[in-house]
Amino acid sequence: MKYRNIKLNVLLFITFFLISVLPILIIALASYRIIPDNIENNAVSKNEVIAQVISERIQEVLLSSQRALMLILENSDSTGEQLAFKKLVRTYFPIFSMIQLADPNGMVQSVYPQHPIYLHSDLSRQPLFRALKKQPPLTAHWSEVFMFPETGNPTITVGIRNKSYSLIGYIDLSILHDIVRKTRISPGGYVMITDKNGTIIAHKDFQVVKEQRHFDYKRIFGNGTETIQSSIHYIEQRQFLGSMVKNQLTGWPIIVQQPLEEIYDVAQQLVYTIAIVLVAVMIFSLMLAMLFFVVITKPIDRLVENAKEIERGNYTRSISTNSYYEMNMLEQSFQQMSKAIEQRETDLSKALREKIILMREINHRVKNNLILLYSLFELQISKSDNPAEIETLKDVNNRIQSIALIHKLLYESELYDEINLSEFIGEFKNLLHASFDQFNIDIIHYTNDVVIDITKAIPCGLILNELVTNAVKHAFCGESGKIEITLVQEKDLVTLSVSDNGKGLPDDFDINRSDSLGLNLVKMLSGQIQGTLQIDGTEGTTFTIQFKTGINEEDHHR
Amino acid sequence: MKRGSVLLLFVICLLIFACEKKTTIKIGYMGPLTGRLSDLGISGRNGAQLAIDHANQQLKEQKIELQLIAKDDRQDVEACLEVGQELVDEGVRAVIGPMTSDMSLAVLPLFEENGVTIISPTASTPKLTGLDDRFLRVNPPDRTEALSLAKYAAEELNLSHIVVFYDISNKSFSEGLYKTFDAALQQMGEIQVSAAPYLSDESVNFSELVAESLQKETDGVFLIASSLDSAQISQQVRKGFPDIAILATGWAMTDDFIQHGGKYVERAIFSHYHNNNSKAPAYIAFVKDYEEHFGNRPDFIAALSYNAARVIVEALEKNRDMDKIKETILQIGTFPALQGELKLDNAGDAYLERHYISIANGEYVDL
Repeated sequence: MKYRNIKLNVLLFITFFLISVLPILIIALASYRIIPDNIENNAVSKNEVIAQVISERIQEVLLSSQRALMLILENSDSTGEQLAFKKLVRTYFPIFSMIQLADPNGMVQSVYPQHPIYLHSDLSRQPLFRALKKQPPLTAHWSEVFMFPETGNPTITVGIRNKSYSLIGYIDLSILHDIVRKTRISPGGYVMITDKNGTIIAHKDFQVVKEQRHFDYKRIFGNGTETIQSSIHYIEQRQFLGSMVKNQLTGWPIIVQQPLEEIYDVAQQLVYTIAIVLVAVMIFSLMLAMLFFVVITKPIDRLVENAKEIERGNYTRSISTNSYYEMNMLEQSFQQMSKAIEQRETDLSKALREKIILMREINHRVKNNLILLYSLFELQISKSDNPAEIETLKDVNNRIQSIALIHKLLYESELYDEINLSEFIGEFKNLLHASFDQFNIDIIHYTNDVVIDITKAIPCGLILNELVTNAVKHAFCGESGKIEITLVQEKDLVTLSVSDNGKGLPDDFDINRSDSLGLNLVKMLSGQIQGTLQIDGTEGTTFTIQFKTGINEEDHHR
Repeated sequence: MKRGSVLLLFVICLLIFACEKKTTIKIGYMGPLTGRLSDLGISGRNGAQLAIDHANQQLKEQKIELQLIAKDDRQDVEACLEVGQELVDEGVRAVIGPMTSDMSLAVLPLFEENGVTIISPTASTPKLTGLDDRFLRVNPPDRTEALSLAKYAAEELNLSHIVVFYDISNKSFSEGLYKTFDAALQQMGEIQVSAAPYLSDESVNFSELVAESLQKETDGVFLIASSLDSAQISQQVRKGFPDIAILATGWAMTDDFIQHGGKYVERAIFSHYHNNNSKAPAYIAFVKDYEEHFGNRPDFIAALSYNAARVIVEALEKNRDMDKIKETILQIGTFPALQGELKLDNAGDAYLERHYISIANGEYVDL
């Protein structure tokens, strides 16, 4: 399964990330979704309240002016030119920059303060007077805002008439400037008031008012009937949250503008805080993951390294036990196991050494005994006059020699359960040359390195001895000849063949009926090593024996 | 591989196209936005702003945005040079304005030096007529106005003694006009013309000015002043001389003149190229838009200012190189205007036919 390939440190980091960073991230994202909305809603509410309060304040000022004018009208006599008028306008003058008293035709009959330009001037063509004439008596009419030439300030007039004359009061709207200037929104925020057409009549920068700049509030807030509106919009590439409240008396929009970045400053701070916390948590998680990784994997690495050392036969490595409990226990167990293995190996090595010595001694003694036997038979041969007896004893001696050679090789080699057959054939050929030097026979061999099990070594040696001896004695009838010994291995199948270029076998030759001891031995020994024997006597004679090495492949390679 | 490269190139082109930045071109405006002449400045600015707003709708697809930077010259030479320098510093290459001849003459050297082209809606001084300079205008020189009114005074009204009230805060225009008017009348016969210059500011007292200037035999006044001043002078004049004839320049021909003048400005005579009752579709659409936008009816100043802005827009559509704006404008020569075609000569002066206008029952009427 794939997850098994995931490294522990990655797994730990992911785990820590999931349990530490992810919840914070989710909470942060949720907060980021919710908080700006709340901040915006709060700003909108606050700004709308400010606009509402300013609107109410304006209404209060204008209505008080209207009441003052009404008071003047109520306290004047019917002629229009009255003492009461002059007295009262003095009382209420701070509100008005000018008060005109006009006859029903719009001719100004009286002006306060005195101003020759406006005395006897004709108001009949002015929209404010025209609208006033259409108004029922004793009801106020508010004009549009205009720049009063005498002051250069935005001005509005309130007019009230009775049947005899009209009173028109000019209210200097620079008072609005004081109101908006004193209203604090935020460093970049401000309040402005426009007339119904969008001409700015109050702004923190009075120059804007004097220049009668236009603010297209209808485009931003719509031209609906709602008295309170809020909107996000751009002014000179800067985004603002604007709240507008329309004054019910005049229809002027009171607009509170606040740069969006100042509103979202809190949210921005939140984002920064979240980002810092996230980074800190991630670093902490990473460090924690690394710490756990080190605590968990370092001892494991040490164990792995120690296991490799043990594999290499080094049991002396010390294992520190500076880890968590389970790991310490594992390390202690490992150490005990390592000591036990070391002890067992020591014991086994000792036993093996003893066994080797024993084996070597046995083989040595067997070889010595066989040589002793060989010497006894040689002594017997030397004392015998019977050629048949001599021949028989020589045969026996050759067999003893073959077995002794096998034991010599086993004694000399480090291995005691297998033997290199090709090495045996090489030394065996030398022995044969020594034994049959009176014959003019050339013995050659073609062998690969073939290793066979010890149980098959002595039968093979004897088979080879019998076949070569048989060929030397019977194949050539005293003439010269050639004997070839071939040994090949294919997989675990060994093919051993002995061939001569002698006279060959009689046509009716049958090994099963042969009374030759040597051939019977060959047949018997072939069966003993579970081999197959084939005989070809057509051109010379060729004996081929095929058998398995008897060695387990894995053991052999090992 | 080849197909992949073509696709990559296509994507890059698409990205470049998508990321193409909007070009902002700054257009300046100068006029008296505050003070007694502010009606001139405010109307001019509003007309120019409306034209710029319309142009921005038109140029949106070309990713061009025009930005009007309006400055208050306060009808003061020092302030005018100060705001002129501000416009230069902001990289402005074309200015709508100044609105008066005095300010145009004052700021022109600065603009000549910095390669800024002036397209004035209303400055009509003959001192700038026929010159190869950076001063262009969409109104005719005032000489024709003076000649036209002199002719009307002599031939139609048969006046014998005329007092000319002129505002020396715009002396280049007003004094020149007075002299042309005087010279024309001297040629026509024995008509006495006397001058009553004054400086329009908060301290001006029109009742005293009128009382000092008018004589018993005075049968006509010629007002070379703003609408408000003209209205107030008219009131003072007709309080004592109800039947006196009033001649006034186009400078005064706004709604303010009628509203502030009341019955005293009835029958006042103008010689103007602007027709308040024009039925030209472009003008009707302009009036509608202006009223919707600013809440009042546009006067001729707003219309001229709109025309001036349109001249710049037309030139920009032909050649976006603002450094060549003057050459482009003169090369085009003829522009669509609110009340017909506007033709500029090689010196950048416009010639428009004048007609007489009077006031009847509080309305401007053609004679």
